[in-house]
Amino acid sequence: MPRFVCLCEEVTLEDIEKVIKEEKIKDLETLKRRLHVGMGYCGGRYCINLLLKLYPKLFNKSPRYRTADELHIPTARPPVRPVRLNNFKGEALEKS
Amino acid sequence: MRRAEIAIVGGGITGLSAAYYLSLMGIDNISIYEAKYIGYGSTGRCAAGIRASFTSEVHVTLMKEAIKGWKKWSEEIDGVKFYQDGYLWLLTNDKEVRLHKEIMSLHNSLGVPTKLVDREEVKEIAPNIVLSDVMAALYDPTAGKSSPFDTTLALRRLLLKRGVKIHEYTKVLRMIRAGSKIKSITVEGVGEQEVEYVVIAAGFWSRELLQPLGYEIPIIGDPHHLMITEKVSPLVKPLVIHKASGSYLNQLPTGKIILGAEYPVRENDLELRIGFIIKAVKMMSRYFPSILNANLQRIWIGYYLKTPDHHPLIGFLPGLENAVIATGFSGHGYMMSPIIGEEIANLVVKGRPRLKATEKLRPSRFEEGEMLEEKAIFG
Repeated sequence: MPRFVCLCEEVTLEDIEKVIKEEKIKDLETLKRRLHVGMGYCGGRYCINLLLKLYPKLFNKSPRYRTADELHIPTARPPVRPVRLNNFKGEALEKS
Repeated sequence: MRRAEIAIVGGGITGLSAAYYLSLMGIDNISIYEAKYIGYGSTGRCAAGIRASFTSEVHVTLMKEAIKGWKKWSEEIDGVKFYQDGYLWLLTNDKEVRLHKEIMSLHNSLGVPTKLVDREEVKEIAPNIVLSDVMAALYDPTAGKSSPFDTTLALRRLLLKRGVKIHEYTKVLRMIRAGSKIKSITVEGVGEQEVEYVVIAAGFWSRELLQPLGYEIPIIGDPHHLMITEKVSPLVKPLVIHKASGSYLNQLPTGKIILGAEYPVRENDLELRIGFIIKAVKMMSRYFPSILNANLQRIWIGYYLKTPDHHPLIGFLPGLENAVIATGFSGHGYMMSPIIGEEIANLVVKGRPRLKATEKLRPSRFEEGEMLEEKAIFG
């Protein structure tokens, strides 16, 4: 039974462990780019948190005492949640 | 003492491509030093377009070679894909149509088969388009797209297999000169490392690395916004540009749509602007109204590393026999990377580039008063 870490992009724990080992991946950002974990509908809000919990096991390092910067958490960028482009036609701004 | 290396500073597409060609030429002591992760800078932030339809002979020549390279990479490097889906420049007034007739003649004379197409042909190329005020379009069937994430990581995998050392999160702090050579580099957390050659492909950060040696390289970081939507059904294959506003739309093979627009901000100003979103959405929804139903997923800024003539700097640094620089691609580093990497390898191994066009990009050209000209710098 596959153990999904990323539901949006359908990435399993096995996929993740495999690429980390085979491709000597050392950080979450590269893992994200490789398997698209964190690039789906949830924007990483589900899977990146899970990956942080799995971090010590995956990268064989303790996350304790590390700053967010040292953990190289993928950059969070706006919008916080996906927003329909329909909201950006600019009409409201032009009227005001 | 560790063995002297060919040190590549910068793990963006330029550094990776250089390492690839150096490795193909039999060099076995290559190290890449990347301060962050592979593809951190302009590479990972680009709009993924690839085209030879430029308006300077140097750019056209290099990009024709680069496209040959992209085809080769997609056949030979597992994980690299080049989609030759074309570029479509929408023209909305008489002046633009006249200008693009001339541009087409220039392209055709240089061997790029662009074609001025009428409204009916535009509809055939992009069946989902709403023609609106489109008068005609310039179509480049040789252009295409490729994923920077896939390409950089495919190269990373291959280079590791070929024995290239890739040092991630490892910053090069300075270069130490002795006479006409760079003798060594100081690497954060490692110390001093002797070098045979050094390749500076650190994009914006090349500047601060070279300043202590007295080199003021003429590049500025010009911030450009981009955004991406969630996956939507297939909408349009070519990358579509609305010429008058510099807005563009690129649907990636995953189904996500990248939207861009010329939205000038001050140098090094990295604040995200809602005005950019409004401009790009307004312009591109005129031709593809269904994008209004797509969800915006992410917005970011990347640098165009602009030089005074919008052409890159490639070549030996004046006065140094073992230091090659390659940066300042003015928004085109990803698309040019196959030929640039090959030319860096030629400079290192043979002492000179293969193409005359590359010679024209030598870093000393500004002091020598030779500027190049380019009219189409976006997309």
